[in-house]
Amino acid sequence: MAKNWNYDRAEKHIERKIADVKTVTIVDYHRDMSLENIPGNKAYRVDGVHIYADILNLSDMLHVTADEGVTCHKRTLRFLNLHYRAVHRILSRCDTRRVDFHNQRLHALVARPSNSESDAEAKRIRRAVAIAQLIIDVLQETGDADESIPSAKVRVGIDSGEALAVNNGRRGGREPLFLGAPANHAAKMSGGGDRAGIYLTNNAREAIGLDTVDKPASKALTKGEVEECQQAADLGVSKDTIVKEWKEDLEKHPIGAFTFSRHTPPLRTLDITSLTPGNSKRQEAASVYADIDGFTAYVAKHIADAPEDVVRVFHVIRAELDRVLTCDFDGRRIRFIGDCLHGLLCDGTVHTTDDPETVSTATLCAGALRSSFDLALEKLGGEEIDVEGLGLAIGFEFGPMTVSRLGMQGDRVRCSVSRGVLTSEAEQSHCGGDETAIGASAYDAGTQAVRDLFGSKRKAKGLDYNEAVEALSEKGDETAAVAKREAFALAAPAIASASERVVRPYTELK
Amino acid sequence: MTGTSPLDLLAACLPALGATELGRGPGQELIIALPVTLSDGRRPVYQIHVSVTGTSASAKEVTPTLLPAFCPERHINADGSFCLYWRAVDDIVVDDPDAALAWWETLVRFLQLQARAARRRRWPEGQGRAHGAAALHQYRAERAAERLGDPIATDMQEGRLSLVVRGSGAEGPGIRVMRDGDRVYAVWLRSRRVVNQRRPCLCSEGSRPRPQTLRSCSDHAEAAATLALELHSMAEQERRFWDVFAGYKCCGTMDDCPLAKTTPSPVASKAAA
Repeated sequence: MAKNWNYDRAEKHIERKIADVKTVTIVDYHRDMSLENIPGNKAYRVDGVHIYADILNLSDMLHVTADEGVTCHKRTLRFLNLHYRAVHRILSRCDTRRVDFHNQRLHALVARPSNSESDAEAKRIRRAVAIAQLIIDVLQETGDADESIPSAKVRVGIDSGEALAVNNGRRGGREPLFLGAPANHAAKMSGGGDRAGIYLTNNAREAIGLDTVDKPASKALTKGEVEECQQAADLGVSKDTIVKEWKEDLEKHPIGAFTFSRHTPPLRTLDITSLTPGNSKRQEAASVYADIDGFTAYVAKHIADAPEDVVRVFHVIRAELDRVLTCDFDGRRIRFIGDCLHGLLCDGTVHTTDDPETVSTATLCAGALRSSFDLALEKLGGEEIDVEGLGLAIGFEFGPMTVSRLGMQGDRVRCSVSRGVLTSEAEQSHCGGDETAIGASAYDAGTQAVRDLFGSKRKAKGLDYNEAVEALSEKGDETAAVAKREAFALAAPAIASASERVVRPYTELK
Repeated sequence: MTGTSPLDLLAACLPALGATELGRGPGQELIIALPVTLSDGRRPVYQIHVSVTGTSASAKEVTPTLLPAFCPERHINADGSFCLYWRAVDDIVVDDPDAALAWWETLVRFLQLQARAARRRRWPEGQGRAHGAAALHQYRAERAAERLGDPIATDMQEGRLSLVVRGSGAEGPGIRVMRDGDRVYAVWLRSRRVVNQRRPCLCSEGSRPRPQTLRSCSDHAEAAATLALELHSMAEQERRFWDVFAGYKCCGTMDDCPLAKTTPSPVASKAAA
């Protein structure tokens, strides 16, 4: 059956998801509540400190060889794996919640001490700074010279405030996800430059008595400021202890060698939970990022007066984007990164990927994600939910992709990293809320119809599914032509025949 | 002729379209509900008023609901009728069942293209003719491009060619033919010939290791000059077309519409002519 998108199918699913979140409850988070398995129609208001730590030299690892071959990928995964393990040890020793590890980016939450203690926010921020410094110090020693794995250069962003914790998982997932300014601002601090160090937002700086600065993403904490926080936080664990324990753990549980095999398409059937370093996947595929544009501002606007609507919009849109990728296009969701979906698509056989077909499918899927997004907004608007200012920025790229799970046994984190993954994320980040961008490798691997659709700037505005199918099929793209034939299979015969007709409308002077 | 009126021929096609007859007007008029399936499965239902004069049929929305009342960029005439084709070249004479069905299919495809235009805020590439008298020059330019073959023929079809008029020497101004903003060749406006005829030909013969020059390659020097001159005339006629409609209200549904520049306050809603 052709991979395609259909209005009725999407409408039915969106309406079902809207019904699921008809009643949403928002409650304040207390220390005895669990952040695991939050019901879909519930959110916790969590006052905490968000830490984002970016490993700055991941891209260097991926470009260590001229070709993006198996060696390059093995080294990169081993690099991440060593560091994931070290960070895991730090967070568990410091009673800190890991929210997610998304390739080079760690998100963690410091929720204690709770607000029942005096000066709790400042204590949390100082603790976060001390943990951040510990991460930086430890990751400077967790490389592996024997395997040509460098130590990690780390940049940390920190912000504090209220955010909504919702369930990030789908189909068995259970981890929380945080919506709101502090998570996003911390991410902006860590992603806001290429110099290592710890960067606090002005909000967080003020809370611990530091002066505000014009450009907080350019002003790292000084050594003295960090030391003050370390003394105040008194984590009770040193870098040397963590490194020692990490080394002992590596001896007891060595990281298995990375072994790659292909997954026979479609990737939808890939069971990520069964992957390990020794059973990792690697193949040519398309990586797609779809990010809800304007969502941070939307959350900030509504978190006080209509937090229920924030949860509704979030769950409905995400569930629908996931359905499109997985059910309509047989893709594999790697993860949600906040309001962003990352997935992989692959067409081909057990032995080889069909490059142009994969790129065409990714183009159709990108169009479908936008069609579903637009429809979801329309339906949510019909329920009197404000959806003003929301858009969808989509980027995709083609190339060799990896999928594995890294970290400690029993707590492994899924990971898909490659040059193409990083490029697809970068392409998406350069898009506005009505734009879709294609990476250079996908552009080159695609059919002429795909290249014409995106043009030399490799970006298309307003590209929905209808446009993608029509524009590609009329220029001879076979993947789109099959999808189009399927769409008209049940239509009245003359309508189906009309859809293939070439017309040239005119305009008279009358 | 089969002896059946054109209106009856058209009405006989309704079951094949899944359309419903809602009524007939006082003359040769038909009012129908026409569901138009799109490639994404949507099925907007248009209420269409069809009128027949002789063997020619025309259509418009009963009341402008899903489409603007007037939009030259979307090929909707000032009286609300759809300009489905250029009669001089593409006319459909409704005098038998096949022609009637062809007319309906043209209408349906026109409405399918409207959905694409509404979403992307521009008419789908290569799917329309130039406006007013410019269509004749576009037609001639296309024939000239066909004589040159690819890549010029495809460039012309895909609307990638544009012009820059520059200079004023003894030969008068030169018309530069551009592809995606890059110069391809130039033609003297006064002497109506290509500026450098010893350049490699524009056809595939010109890109061989030992390329044919333009002047020695079939009639391509003349075709290239014709293409440039007709594109120039087409641009002039386009300007005249929009001058006639200056001051008409823009519907606001298309980007870069010349009407938007002459309308005091463009509105996003449907416009009345």
